[in-house]
Amino acid sequence: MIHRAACFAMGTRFELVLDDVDPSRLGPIADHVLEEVRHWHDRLSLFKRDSFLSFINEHAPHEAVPLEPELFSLFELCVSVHRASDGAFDPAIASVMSALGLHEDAVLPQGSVAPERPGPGRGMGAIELDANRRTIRFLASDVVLDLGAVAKGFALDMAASHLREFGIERALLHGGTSSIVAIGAPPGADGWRVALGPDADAPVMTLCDGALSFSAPHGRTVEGPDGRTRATHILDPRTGTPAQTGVFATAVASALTGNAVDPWPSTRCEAWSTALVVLGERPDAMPDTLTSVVASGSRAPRKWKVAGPHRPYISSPAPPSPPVSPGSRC
Amino acid sequence: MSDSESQRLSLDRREFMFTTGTAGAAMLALTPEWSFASLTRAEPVNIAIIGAGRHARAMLDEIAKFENARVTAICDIVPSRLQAALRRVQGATGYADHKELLSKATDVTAVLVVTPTHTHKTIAIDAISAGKHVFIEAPLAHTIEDCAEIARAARSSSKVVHVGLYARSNPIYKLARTFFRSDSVRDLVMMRAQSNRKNEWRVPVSDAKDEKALNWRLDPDVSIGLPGELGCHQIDVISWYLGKYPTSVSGTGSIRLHKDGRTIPDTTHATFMFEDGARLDWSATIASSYEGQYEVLYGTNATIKLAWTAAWMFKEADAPTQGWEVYANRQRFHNDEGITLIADATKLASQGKLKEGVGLPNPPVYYAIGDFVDAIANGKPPVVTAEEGLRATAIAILANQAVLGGKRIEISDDVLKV
Repeated sequence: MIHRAACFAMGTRFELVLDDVDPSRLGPIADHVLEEVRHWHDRLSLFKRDSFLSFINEHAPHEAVPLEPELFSLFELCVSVHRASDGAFDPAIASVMSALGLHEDAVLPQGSVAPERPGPGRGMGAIELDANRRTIRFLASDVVLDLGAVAKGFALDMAASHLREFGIERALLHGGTSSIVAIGAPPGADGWRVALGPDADAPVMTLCDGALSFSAPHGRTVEGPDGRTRATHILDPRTGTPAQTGVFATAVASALTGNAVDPWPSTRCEAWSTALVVLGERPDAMPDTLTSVVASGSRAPRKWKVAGPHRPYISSPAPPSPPVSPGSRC
Repeated sequence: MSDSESQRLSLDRREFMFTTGTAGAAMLALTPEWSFASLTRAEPVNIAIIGAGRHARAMLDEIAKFENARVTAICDIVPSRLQAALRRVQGATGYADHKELLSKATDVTAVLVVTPTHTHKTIAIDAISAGKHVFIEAPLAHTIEDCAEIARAARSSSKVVHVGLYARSNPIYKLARTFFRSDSVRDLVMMRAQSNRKNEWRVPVSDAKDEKALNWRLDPDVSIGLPGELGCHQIDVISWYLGKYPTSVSGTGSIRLHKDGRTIPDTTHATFMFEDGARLDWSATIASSYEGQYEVLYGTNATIKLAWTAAWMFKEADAPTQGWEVYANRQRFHNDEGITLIADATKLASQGKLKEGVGLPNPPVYYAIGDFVDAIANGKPPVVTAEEGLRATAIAILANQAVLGGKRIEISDDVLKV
């Protein structure tokens, strides 16, 4: 029996579709998992003064702040993608975002100001993680974390981990439809089919035991560099100005590689899809385990440039059955 | 003295040991405790946490913010929960049995009891007997008799026994209370409180033998329902603000959404009457989340709305204007405009940062733990005593009985005393 449940968190709607041999468990399990999403909303919101993220932003410039293991992993991953993307992904520039008027309701530390010189050594480049003590510390006073979509991916990964602990083998979770995690596949199918766009002829991704994140330059806008036109809300952290590439980007990752489970596929995809919008194309340093799907042109692009291991799983509107990987249950 | 003043200031038979705020204090003079900075100078308090469910996880998160408190032992009967909690706390030792923890974890000086309500009595009394400082989550217990036993044990202890009625540690609630107990509200008209959420109240159980232990909230033998688990905190808020307890409660309950065989109502209403005619209309549901959790105290001059991490005052048009209001931050609620109650308003206003003071800087549980640790470190009495926990819980238990029976119950003084 298919069970659906949803909640509002992180400024969007999270939805869960799951299936199990024992339908009586589904309601309580869905409840438990959505509570996990709300938990991370409460902890990672930039818009709640009592969130742990606000606590970090307030205290980390002055002292090392202890982190729970999952959050330490999250920040390690952020640092890793920041470095691999050559600074194109940077969730530590909330002060810049605020200066551009993008965070009217955000809770920023008292006296925080945007850096005069964005770029190397600023933002995530000025964050110190101590693996032995499991702490985070800011090395510059203008560092302010805003995890944005990465928090959404992280909440989905945490939710998925709970589903797996409960033995759920078929589920789809999404946050605002742009961040998706798939566990297994629907009965009789090879995977969960996800259209990369609203139109009927948009390409379709078949997702099984993996995650997908879609980033687009439209949505919220700010005043452009010329002072007259509007520009995307996604900033190029290297310059502190709106990203100019105009591309739509999707990152796809597997949660399973053989018997190994990646606990953070959705977090990884969120970080990389944002970096791809900034970079405009797939960089050499993007891990081989991730697929990139990049398009440009209009709000509903038709031509997508696909690279990476999931390429066979992306199809035209009438999707053929994708090949099944050896050892995969999908 | 007006009737309203005499109503607020008189000591009647239902005023038990309330510590009054500074009546008449204006926002300009208020500097409530927003942090426990002084604690950082004290020796660390070694804490054991008994119970490692979701709420314990929130407590672990907050304890990590204190430099002078650390969790050194964790106990839970469910191995997966225990292991998950141990992963979060570096260097802590795990136990499956609280008696073993109390006997072996000799470095522990304070114990947090965060277990199912009906197990509080045994664990709390064992911890008190072992000479520990004890923090007991509210509701205090699932029967009035158990509450009284805990309160008696606490009274005989020289250590801190603190009950987790969070509002009393919450800086915003303390600030708003000073307004309520001054002339800002003037005559109390009525009160309303609700605790709405949409969830199952049922824990997923993989092994049928764990059903009773994990789904105790739905077990009619031990559950005190929504009035007990959610209502006790709000009953305490109202009683603390008024300085008195209700004299009767009537209620109704029904199952509006979760028709899965349970007998514990998922939607409840209760009316609490006070002897001066004041009335609290309270409701709780797990079938709708609309407007969440709040308490509202309506007055002839102003109405105060409390929502755990924020509070507002809505003034009547004919109420006198006070000087500090020119600095106030305001929020719009449909046709009404609320003055946000924040600390250090004058200081923030002079710095142009009034908006940055809106809302509580930490979750309410942080302040409750802070008060507990502060009492231990500095030899202070507990901010919330076991007797206060007994009273709020006893009234909540009676409210649950009223809801289940669809009847009115008189609240005698006897059940409010140890």
